[in-house]
Amino acid sequence: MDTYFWHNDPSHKNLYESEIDILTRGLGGDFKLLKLYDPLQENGRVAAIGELMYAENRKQVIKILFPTKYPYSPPKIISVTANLDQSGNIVEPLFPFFFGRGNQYSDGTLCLFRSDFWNLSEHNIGWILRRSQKWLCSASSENGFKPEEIVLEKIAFMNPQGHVLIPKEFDLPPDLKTGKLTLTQFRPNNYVLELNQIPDSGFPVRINNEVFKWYTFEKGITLKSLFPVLDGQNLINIFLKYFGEKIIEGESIKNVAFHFIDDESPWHFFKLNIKIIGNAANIGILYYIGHIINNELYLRTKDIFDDRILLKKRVTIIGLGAIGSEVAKSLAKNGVGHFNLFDKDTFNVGNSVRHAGDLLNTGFPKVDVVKELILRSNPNITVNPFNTDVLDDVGLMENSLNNSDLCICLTAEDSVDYFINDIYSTKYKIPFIFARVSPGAFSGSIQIVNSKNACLRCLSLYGADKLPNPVKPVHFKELPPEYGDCSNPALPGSEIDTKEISIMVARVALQCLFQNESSIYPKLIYSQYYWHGPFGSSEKGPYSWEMKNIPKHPECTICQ
Amino acid sequence: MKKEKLTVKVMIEGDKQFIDEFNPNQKVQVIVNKTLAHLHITADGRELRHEDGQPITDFSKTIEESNIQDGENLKFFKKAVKPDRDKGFA
Repeated sequence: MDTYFWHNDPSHKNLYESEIDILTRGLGGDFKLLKLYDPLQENGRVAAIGELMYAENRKQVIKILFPTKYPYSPPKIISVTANLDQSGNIVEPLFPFFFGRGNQYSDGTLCLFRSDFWNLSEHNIGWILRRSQKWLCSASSENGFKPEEIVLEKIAFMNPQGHVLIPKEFDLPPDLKTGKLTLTQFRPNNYVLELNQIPDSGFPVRINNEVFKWYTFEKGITLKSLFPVLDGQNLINIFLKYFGEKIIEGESIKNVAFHFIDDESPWHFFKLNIKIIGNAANIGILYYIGHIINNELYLRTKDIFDDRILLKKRVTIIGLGAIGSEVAKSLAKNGVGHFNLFDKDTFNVGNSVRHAGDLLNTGFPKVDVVKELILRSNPNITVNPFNTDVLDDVGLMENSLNNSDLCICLTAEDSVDYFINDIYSTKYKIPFIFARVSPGAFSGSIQIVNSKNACLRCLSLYGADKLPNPVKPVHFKELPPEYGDCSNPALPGSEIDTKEISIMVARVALQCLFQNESSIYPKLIYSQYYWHGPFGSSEKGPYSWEMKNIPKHPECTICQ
Repeated sequence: MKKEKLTVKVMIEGDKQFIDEFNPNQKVQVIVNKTLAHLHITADGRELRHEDGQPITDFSKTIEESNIQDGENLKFFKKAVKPDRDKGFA
């Protein structure tokens, strides 16, 4: 099928003609079409420019952009500043015009309604234009939008060229109005604040550092009040009025950061390119929007997993392979605040097909790879990476478990599992989770060991420390030793089936952490989980979890 | 003075359209009746709307009284209830 464009669809012929007709005839004199673009000029989109009348005798130039899949999605209305040549033709390029009253996207698009309000069999371009008139009346009124009209709260007074990630709020020196911040660029036009106020935090990327001079405004001054529109002259006046600085003097390129203490988004960053032409100053402005990660990160998950609880929890993970890396990443994304990581291995090329890391991590210790993944999920998390063999450790494990709320053992090595089970699970009053998958990852098991449930030795006595067997036996070629550890060769198995176990381990880990906390998430009921994978087993059909609650064995020497 | 006839277009679902000329003093009901007959549909559950979405509810008014303009694209869609789908995210 060729690319679908609604205006070329014969079944939308009348709709297309009707919509263009409405624009051409001008909605009873309220709209004047200035230009109808050839869709080829607009990357296949039907687009138009026109003047929309509103209030009494006021007008605003707007660009109308129909999506390629109209009417399944509404047209965009962008307020623009347009110049006309002597013949009355539009001079391109057009620049978005910002009203500075909210309800407007950063590209100048008017936010007219919530996206799910659009009804393709009821609404059309005429309805959109009427809605836009109402929007313009409110945006240009003395009091702006009424609370019930506000769809998009955030003020977009400029289209941001990039973002600045700030791990958490920090205090500026109370006696200073200006100072310096060093930002690290992690991609062109995107920065993270990791030096100065916040030592030892941030993303483990250091490509290029740039210094931004910050300016803080007094209480009561907001971005909205100061910059209804951001332009060069406005900037010159503000620097002079509030900080006594002549911004057009000195270096021609200036990096500045504005801090508005009363704003929900207090930080805004700019790169100013100042050119003096004769007596006039021309200031090119690049805008970077600041995000305080602490304030924004967990808004979508906090009602399920309260980050105020999880950020205080510490999890020790032993083994950071296919399962361990995914579990660590998942727990970090869900809000766990502290990690101790143990693994002695280095990341190999072959790891990347089922590890949370990727090829760019080749050659690094797995603990460092996972630390990087965790910090990229949230730079405020503390991670202690230990590139060591837990069976040859001289106290790091004990120190880690002393302050942990949970230990997850994901080495699938009997020696490690039984050592942790036999020595530590009885000494530390925290839950221990063990998990592994079968060769091929066609089945898996998860065991939660605590003071009430069966330990690994109990399960052995019951004959329950097992992996479900596929209905038909599956045989694999052994991998050459050079593709793994010679004493512990890598086993075959797909990423997708391994991940099934990782997800369940992360889920029960969160349940363990919330077991004695107030949470709407269901409490942990079971302590043994068996995954009957793609082939199923003699006991269960394919893709099914079997969950059990096996008690301690009366003859278990560890538990007794 | 005899008033000029108006061209009125009526769109329904499936990109179907009815176009005809009407006298401004004819009732809206005439537009509706002709549309139903021409497009072989019934009025059940339909709403007549101006091209800017404003509903036209009183069919006994004349075309002029209803402020229907020459060339206007009226909509006569079945009242659309959006599918009652469970909310989700992906």
